[in-house]
Amino acid sequence: MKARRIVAVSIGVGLSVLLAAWGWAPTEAQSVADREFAYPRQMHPAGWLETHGQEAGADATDCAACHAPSSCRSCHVEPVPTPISRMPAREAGIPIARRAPDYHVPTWSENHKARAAANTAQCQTCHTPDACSSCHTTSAAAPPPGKRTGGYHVGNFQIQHSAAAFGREVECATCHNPEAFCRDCHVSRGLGSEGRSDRGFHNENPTWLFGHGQAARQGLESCATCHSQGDCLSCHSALGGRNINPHGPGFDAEQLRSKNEAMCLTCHLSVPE
Amino acid sequence: MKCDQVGDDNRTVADGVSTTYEPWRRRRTIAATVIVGAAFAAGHIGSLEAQQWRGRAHTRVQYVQARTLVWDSVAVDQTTGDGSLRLSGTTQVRCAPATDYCYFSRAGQTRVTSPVTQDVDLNVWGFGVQGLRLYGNARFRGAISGTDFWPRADDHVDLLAGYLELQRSRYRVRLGRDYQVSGLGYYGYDGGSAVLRLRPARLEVEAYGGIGLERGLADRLDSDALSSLDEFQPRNSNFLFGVRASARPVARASVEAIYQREEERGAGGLASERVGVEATYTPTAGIWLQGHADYDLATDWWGKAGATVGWSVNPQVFVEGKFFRYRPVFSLQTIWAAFNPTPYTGWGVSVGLRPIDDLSFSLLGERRDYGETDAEVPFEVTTDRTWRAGGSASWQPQEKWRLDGGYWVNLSFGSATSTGQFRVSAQPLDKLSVGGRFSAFQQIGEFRVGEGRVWSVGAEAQWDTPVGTLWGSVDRYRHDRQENDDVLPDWTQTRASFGMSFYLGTEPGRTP
Repeated sequence: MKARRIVAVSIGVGLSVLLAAWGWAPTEAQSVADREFAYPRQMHPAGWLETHGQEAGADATDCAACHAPSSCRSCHVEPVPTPISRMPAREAGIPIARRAPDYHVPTWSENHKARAAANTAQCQTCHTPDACSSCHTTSAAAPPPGKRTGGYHVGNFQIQHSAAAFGREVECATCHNPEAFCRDCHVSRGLGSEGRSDRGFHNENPTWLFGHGQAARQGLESCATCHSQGDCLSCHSALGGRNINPHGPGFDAEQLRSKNEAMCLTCHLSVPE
Repeated sequence: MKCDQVGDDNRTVADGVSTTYEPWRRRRTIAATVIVGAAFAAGHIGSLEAQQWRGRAHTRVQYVQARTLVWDSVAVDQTTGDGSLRLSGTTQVRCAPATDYCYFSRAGQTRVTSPVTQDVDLNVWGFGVQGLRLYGNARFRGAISGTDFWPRADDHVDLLAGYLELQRSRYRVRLGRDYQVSGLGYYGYDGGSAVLRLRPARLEVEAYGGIGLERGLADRLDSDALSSLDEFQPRNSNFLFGVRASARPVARASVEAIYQREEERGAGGLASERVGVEATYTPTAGIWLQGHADYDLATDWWGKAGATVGWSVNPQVFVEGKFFRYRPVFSLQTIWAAFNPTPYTGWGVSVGLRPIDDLSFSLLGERRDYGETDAEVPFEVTTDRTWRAGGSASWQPQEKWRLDGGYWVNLSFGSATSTGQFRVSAQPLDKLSVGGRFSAFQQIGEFRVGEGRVWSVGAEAQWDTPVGTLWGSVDRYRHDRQENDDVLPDWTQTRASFGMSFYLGTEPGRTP
């Protein structure tokens, strides 16, 4: 009798271990409300997170079969989308595991421009404008562990900004006016031109003035953060300059004349025909 | 040895930037500060009803050391060599014929300033009309001590935005100072905008316009802020107007297009006319496509463009590739467009790996190729091709400990750099985080540190309080200069920052 009981218990325990190893344990008696339907593995097809808005917007009644408005609010912030506020109320819904969409990869902070512009409304279903201004602000606070917020530029970015600016890693002029911000500071620090072409810094390179054309065309924005237009026109002008032609390949004089004649008259006595 | 210093630090600053003390401007700053402060105080003591207003204040105070570059001279008889380029010790100097002195630049004395930036924004609503809101966002600047060599420190007040808004489900109207952020950039204007939303079609259309503010600046083109343009500053400001439309034609795709035009008031000359388009498409889970492009109708040139395709193979691996091009945009009210800026095109690949939850790596490689400039000369050739590469790693063995490190290298003319960074951060208390950081970098070429190296060590802390956030950091930089670096700036300096951000009024449950 005792031996049979041992055998029965051994078989039961063995089966339980096998079943648990297989992924299901008979003792895992969770209520429906306690189970996390970790999206999208179980109930919804792949890609549901990115596209569920259209279906939910058409009729959220089906959503309410399992979810409560509070489920949706685990991701959606105020003001919540209208379909959520219209969902039938229920005490508890299946919790939704909050997660970012697939395209929020580590490079997302550098590459979110197109999507943020093309579909701002989608951003706003999870993010408030504060989320944007946490980076797009003057703050340079370092983010705490696990957080990515704290400023668009890293701390003391100004120390090393020259390489990023010259290499066009970012488009500085989007937020910083080259004349009032960049040149103002460069001149006050002694790096900017003060109207004399013979004392340009340029690492004291003696031939710089005569060979600067290629670098200038490649990095004209950088030139303008130190040099005034008058500096360049002291040579590149038909009026009082040395008449050195600054126009490069593909220059379309007629195109520019048709848009703004005053630009031509800065250097020429008459507009080109 | 060095005599007759013609360019001491004070003169350099005085000549370089308008730092004239303007009493009226200071009074205006004080008055605006008092008004905003009074508004906050009034609201805080309950004179306004609950749910009626909310304000945010963000303060940043810095301590900045910097050594300016100054122009110096030496007597001709104290130089060696002949011709226009000679040596004074190891320093190369420039000598003009028939003059007694030769000239050179060198690092000047250490200068110190403490710039302060105060951003304030205020939302007021509950005027008895559903959806009616008043919004203002102002920036105040100044310096606690030292000379004002920090950019824009002499412009003490900027109104970044200030408008009255009526928001309804199908439309939105704004009147006042506002700005438009799009693929064309950030443009402000004093005027108005109207948004119409056609929900069944998932279409949103916006028209906006008014008197334009300069790009990246909360001032008009004819303002004092741009007086350094001298004779090139237009007499009038610009009109700016545009139309933007965005749509989601199918559930997995979205697209936005924008047209914007700026022209000078009165004169009628065109400043800029551009169109832009941005689109995204998610064909299936884990794959995303996005692209953008803008075209300058004024110059008939393509500007920026880019296309990105990403694949999240699984939660541990992602791959992203991109193609891009870039040509800067210049107003036709400047001469720069006539200089034919050369565009570049390029491609890049980035890969992310997360072998275990605590550990992640990312790698990036990028190549750029400049177009033909027609300006090469044999003795001064820059590179047409540039490379960027880098990698970073993060390890968070415990929830409250994290290590980050990275290395980046940029091989190109003008922006050649090699940078390594390491950071350790911890969260000893629930709302308190502290960290230390170390870095070393080398920048070779224009305006750089030459072949010397700059080392830095710093500390940082952030404390999230129930009403806001306090943070601070301090860094010390040491520039190990090479023997022939006399004419380069000296980057040995100390920098510190302190900031606080907090909300007042109705709190929606989040802190800055």
